[in-house]
Amino acid sequence: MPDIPKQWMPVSLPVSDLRRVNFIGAFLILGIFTKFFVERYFASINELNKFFDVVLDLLCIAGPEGKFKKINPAFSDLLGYSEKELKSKPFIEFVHPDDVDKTIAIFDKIKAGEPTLKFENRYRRRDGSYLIMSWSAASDPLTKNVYASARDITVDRQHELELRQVFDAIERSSLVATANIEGRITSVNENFCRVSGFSRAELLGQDHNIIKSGIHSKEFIQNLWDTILSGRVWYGEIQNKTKEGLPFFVQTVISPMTDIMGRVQKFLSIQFDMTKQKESEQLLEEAQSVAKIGSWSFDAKAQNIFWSKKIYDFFPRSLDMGPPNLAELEAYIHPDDQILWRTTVGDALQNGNSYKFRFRTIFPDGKILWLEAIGRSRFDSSGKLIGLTGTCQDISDIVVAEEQVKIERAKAMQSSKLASLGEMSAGIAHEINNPLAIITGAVWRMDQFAKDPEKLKARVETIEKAAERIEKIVKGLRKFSRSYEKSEYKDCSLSAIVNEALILTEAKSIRHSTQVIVDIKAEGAIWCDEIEIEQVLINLINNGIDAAKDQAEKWVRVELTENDTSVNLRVSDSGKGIPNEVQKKLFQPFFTTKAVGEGTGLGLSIVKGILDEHDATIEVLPDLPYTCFEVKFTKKRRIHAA
Amino acid sequence: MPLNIVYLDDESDLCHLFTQSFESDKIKIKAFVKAEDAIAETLKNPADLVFIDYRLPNTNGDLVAQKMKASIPKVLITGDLSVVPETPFVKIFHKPFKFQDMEDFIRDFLL
Repeated sequence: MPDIPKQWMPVSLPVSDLRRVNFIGAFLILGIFTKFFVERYFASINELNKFFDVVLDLLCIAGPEGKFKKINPAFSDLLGYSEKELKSKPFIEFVHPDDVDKTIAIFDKIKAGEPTLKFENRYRRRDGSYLIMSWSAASDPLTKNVYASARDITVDRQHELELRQVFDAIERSSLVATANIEGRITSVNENFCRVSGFSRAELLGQDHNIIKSGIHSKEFIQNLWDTILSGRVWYGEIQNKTKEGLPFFVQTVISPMTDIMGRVQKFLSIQFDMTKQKESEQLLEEAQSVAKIGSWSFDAKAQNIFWSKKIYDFFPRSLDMGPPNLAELEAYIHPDDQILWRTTVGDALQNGNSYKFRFRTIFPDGKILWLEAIGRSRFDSSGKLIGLTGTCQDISDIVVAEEQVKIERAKAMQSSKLASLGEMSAGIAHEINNPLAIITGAVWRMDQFAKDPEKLKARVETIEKAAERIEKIVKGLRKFSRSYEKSEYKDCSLSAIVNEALILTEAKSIRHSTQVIVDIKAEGAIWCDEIEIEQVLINLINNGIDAAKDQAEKWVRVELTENDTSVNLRVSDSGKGIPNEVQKKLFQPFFTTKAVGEGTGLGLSIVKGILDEHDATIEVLPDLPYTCFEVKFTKKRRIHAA
Repeated sequence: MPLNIVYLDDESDLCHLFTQSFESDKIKIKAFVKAEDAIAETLKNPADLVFIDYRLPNTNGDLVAQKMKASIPKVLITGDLSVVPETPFVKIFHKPFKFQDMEDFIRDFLL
C-alpha cells in the first residue's frame, strides 16, 4: 500500500475506518487512472476521427448487407451526394451498371476474408458523370463489416489513355524499337519488322547492329552513343540495311529511358522511313551531277553559305571542308570576274533583284572553269531580305561550244562573203572597167592637148573622177572581204552604211536593170559592227535585185527611218513576194529558193545571226503587195564600263 | 566621103572621149547615151559603123543591135568578162580597150 501523505490521514481511525479509507483511496486511484486512460482513449478516438474526416482519400465502412455504415466527408465531397443519401441505399446502386457484377463478386470475396487491393470500378456522381475509383478493402471477420479506402483515379486513367493513344499513333506510323543498355533489341513493332525485312523472332535479343549498313563513320556512331548514354536524346538520319542487304533510310530519334533515379535503363528508338525521299534526293543529286549543276543558298543574317555536293566540284575546295565564307569564295573567282561577282551579288542583296551571270573559277593548277550562277532573293514574312538562293552550273562545255559556233559562223560568213563576192565580181569588174576605159581614153594622146589648157584641164578632171570611182569600189570591196574573228562594235551611222552598201550593189542593180530607190529619212545612229551590218544590207539588197529581175517592174527600195524606240530599215522589192511556207524557213541555214550555183542559202541565216548578236529584229512584213524585209535596231542606253 | 559612126554608151564621159579622140575630117561621130536615140539615128541617117556598149539601162547591146538595120556593121563594146551575143558583130572590144587599138581598127575599116 502506497504511502498516504500525512495530511490526508485522519488523526485517529478505528480499524474499520482504515478499511474504509483504503477503499476510498483505491477508488480514487482507480478513478485517476481511469480518467487518464479514458482521456487517452478518447483522445485517440478523436485523432482517428480527425484522420477519418480530414483525409482526402475516401474512407468508408460498409455493412455485410451492402450499405454504407460510415463514410468520410471526402466521400460526399467527391461524389456529390449527402452522407444521408449515400447511406440510404445499397452502395451497389451507385456503381456503373457494367461494373455491378464484378463489384458484387469482389465484395463477396472480401467478406469471405480475402482483402483486396486496387479493385477498380466506376461510381456515379450526383450530376450523372462517372468516376473511376480504385479500392482497397478488407473485412472484419467478427462483424463482417468491410473497411475500405478508395482513390479517384479518373484523371490518372485519362492521362494513361492519352499516353496510350499517342504511343499507338507512333507505333502505327513509325518504326519503334527498344534496346537495353548493351544495345540488344528488346522489342520491335510491326513496321520495324516490315521495313527491315526481319521477323520479330529474328530481331529480339539481337545486337541492334543486325541492321547496320556500315556506311556511317566511327565518329558518327561514337557521337550517337555518347549522346544517349549521357541521358540526352539523339536526332539524325541513319542508313540501315534490310535482311536482303538493301539500304533503307530512317529519320531517327533515340531516347534514353531512365528510372526514377535518373539512371538509364533502356533506349527507345522511333524512326520514320524516308527511303523514298532519300531516293528522290539521290536522283536529284545524280541529275545535278549529270547536268553539272548544284544548288546553293546564302543566309544574310548569319552570313552562312550552303553548297550542295556538286558545287564543290566547281571550286578548288573539298567536300569535307564544308562551305566557304564570302571572302574565301571570292578568292576562288577569277580576278577578272571578281568585280562583276561582287557588284551582281551586292546588288541582289541590296535591292532584292534576281540575277544570272557567268564567271570563271580558277584552280591552283591553273585550270579554269566557266560557271553560270542564277540567284534570287529570299524574303521573310515581313518582306525583309533574309538571303539568296540559286543554282550554279558548269558551263565550260557550253562556252567552248559557243566559241566553236562563233568560229564556225565567222567561217561561214567568210565563205558567204566570198560567195556573194563571186556573185558580184562579174558586175564589179564591169564597174571598174568603165572608169578604167575612161582613164585609158583620156590619157591616150593627152600630150596633144598640152597646148590647149582648157581641154587639158577637162581631161584631167575626167581622169580624176574616173579614178575616184575605181577607188571607191575597191575600198568597198576591201572592207567587205576583210577577214575578222571578233566583231568590233562602235557608234555608226546606218545611213552611211546604207550608202556604202549601195556602192557595192550598184553593179548588180545595173546589170539586172533594177532601179534602186533610196529613201533615207534619218541618220540612224546605232551601236554596231559596221562591216557586219554592211553585209546585212548587201545581202538584202542583192536578194531584192534577184527577186525583181524577172518582173516587169524592177525595183528595190531601201528606206531608213527612226523613232523614239528604234531605228528602222526597210528593204522592199518588186518581186513576186514570199509564200507563207517559205517565210517560216527563210532564216534557216542552207535554205534557198535560188537555183543551184546562184545562191548559197547562207545569206539570210547569217543575216539573222548578225542581227541577233546586235539585238535587232528582222521580219517579212505581211499584207503588202510586194516583199518587204523590216530590220529594227532598238535604241538602248549603253552602260559604260566603269 | 566621111565615115558615119554612131557610138552608143551610157557612160557620157566615154562618149565624149571617143568623139574627141577619133573625130576627124574623115570620120564623123555621133555619140548617144540613150539607146532609142541611137536607134532613131541609124534609121534616119546613113550609118557606116555602129559601136554599141553592151551594158545599157533597161536593155543590152544585143537587143539594140537587133533593132538596127542588119546591113550596118556593128561593134560591141563591153566591160563584162563574158558576153556571147546573138547578133553578129564584126568585132567585140573589151573595156578598157587601148584607144590605139580602136584607132587601128577604125583606120582598117576605112579602107
